[in-house]
Amino acid sequence: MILHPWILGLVIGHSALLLVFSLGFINAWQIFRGWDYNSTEEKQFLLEKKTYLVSTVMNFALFMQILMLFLFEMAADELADVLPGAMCAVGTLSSNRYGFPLLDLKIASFFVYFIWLMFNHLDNQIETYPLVRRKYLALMLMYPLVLGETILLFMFALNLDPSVITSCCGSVYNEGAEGVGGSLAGASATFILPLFFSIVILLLLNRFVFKHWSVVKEWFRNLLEFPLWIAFFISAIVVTISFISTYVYEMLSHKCPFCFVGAEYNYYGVPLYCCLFVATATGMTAGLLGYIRQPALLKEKAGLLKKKMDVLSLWGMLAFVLTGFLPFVIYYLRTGRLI
Amino acid sequence: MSNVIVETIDVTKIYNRGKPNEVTAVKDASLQIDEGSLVVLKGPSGSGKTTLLSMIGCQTKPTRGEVIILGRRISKLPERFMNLHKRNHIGFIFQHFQLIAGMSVLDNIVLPLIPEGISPKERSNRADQLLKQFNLGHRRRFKVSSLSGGEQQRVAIARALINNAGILLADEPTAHLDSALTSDLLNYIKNLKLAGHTILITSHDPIICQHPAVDRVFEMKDGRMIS
Repeated sequence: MILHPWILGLVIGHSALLLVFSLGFINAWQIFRGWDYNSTEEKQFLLEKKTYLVSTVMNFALFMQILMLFLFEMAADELADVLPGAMCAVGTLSSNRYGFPLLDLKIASFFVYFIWLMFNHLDNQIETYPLVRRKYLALMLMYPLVLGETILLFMFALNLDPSVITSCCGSVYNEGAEGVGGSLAGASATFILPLFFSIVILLLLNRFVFKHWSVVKEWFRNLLEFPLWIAFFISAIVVTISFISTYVYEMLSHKCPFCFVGAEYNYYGVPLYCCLFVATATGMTAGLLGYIRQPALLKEKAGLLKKKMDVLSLWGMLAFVLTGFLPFVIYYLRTGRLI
Repeated sequence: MSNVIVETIDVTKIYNRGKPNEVTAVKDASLQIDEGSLVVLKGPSGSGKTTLLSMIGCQTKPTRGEVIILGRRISKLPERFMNLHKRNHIGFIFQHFQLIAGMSVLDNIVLPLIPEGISPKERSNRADQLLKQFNLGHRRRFKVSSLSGGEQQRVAIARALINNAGILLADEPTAHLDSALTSDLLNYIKNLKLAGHTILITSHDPIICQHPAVDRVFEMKDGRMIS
């Protein structure tokens, strides 16, 4: 283990959040089990008081947990300075077998936490707590994610060894390399670009065109929305690594998805990833909000929130496409060549 | 047919639950108040009148039981919604007026409108109407600390009315008043009743309990409703 301030900060932060989540889990179980809105007994009044406190604390804890994703990336980048062979965050993450699984889990958790926060926000707008039991059931089901993140972070931190030479991004994200990095870097543009834009077009059709076709029912559009956004995110990551990175670095062999987040490339990756994460998170939430049918007030509030999520996701997607393909356009205009 | 506007059903309030100093302030209290009526809640000190009034006034939640105001189960509402309900429908006249001494009469009266997001001009217009109604126009810019007891009392009533509340709650409003001011207050309250307000007063003052404008008297003892 390296006693680096970033590592210590992350370990302490995750431990504290796990403790908060554990307390939240116990309270969520009590609320889930004992909730009876129509009761006027003391027990129910205590649960009503408790749900306000628990949901407020969980709001904060999940927001911090989301923040930890970005702090983890920054920490990995900083740690590259002390690990031999590492040039950026990729070197740190690939220095032991826990780095990338932890990052993947953190990304998946980001979306789950965001969706919970939005549903919690929705529930808090209605005086009869219509989502309370489902909300706390979901919170309990999220506990393994928080526990998993903490365990993986501990394993990752404990196995960081400055005497072991790690791989640099050039060797991980290389068309000839084995593993996921090699496959992502080697994805053919003639395959991934049409796939990516097909998903984008399908998302736009689902939002603007399908609703006018009576043959496409509303439930089907809702059913389509959520997996489409997952597909959008995955294909966007592949496009970023295999295609966009080439025009950012202007090097055929350098396809790192982390280097361009730093100052050397004017923090190009920051708006790119922000747009991608915002678009996907809000798009997935919008898809799930479409399932809410009753009570009527909940449906109405969900409809208003869905509209906001729809707008954010579409603007996010548009901004991602523009930001992502801007280097390609600039390169083409400057050189007159595609590659 | 009368319309019940305030209802409590088997309301109980226990303070310091599970601690050595646990107190049952109100036990299984039920009452109904009709729209536009003037009701007095009487009882000796410590009988639970103020606690029951606080629960009706959305200032505290019962330990168990139900409080229904204007058809809404307010004892079930989350705090945020309960506060909204209170701001929109209930005016409160406190025992010691609870005015802010360092602020002007106008600023004290418009205070409940600030969280509502009402514009300063509209706040001022509403306050001016009430200042005129309670003969306080000439004291508009005075600090409340420089007013007489009777004027402070009128400022407190004006503040309770500024949000156009249909329900007025007054907690021992005559406890610190001489007989002349008590008589003035009762006149104001009678006029408010005639204007359609529903009024609930806690008091053990016989002048209030026996006033001809009072429609009903509920009596409490040791936290229980006895009549």
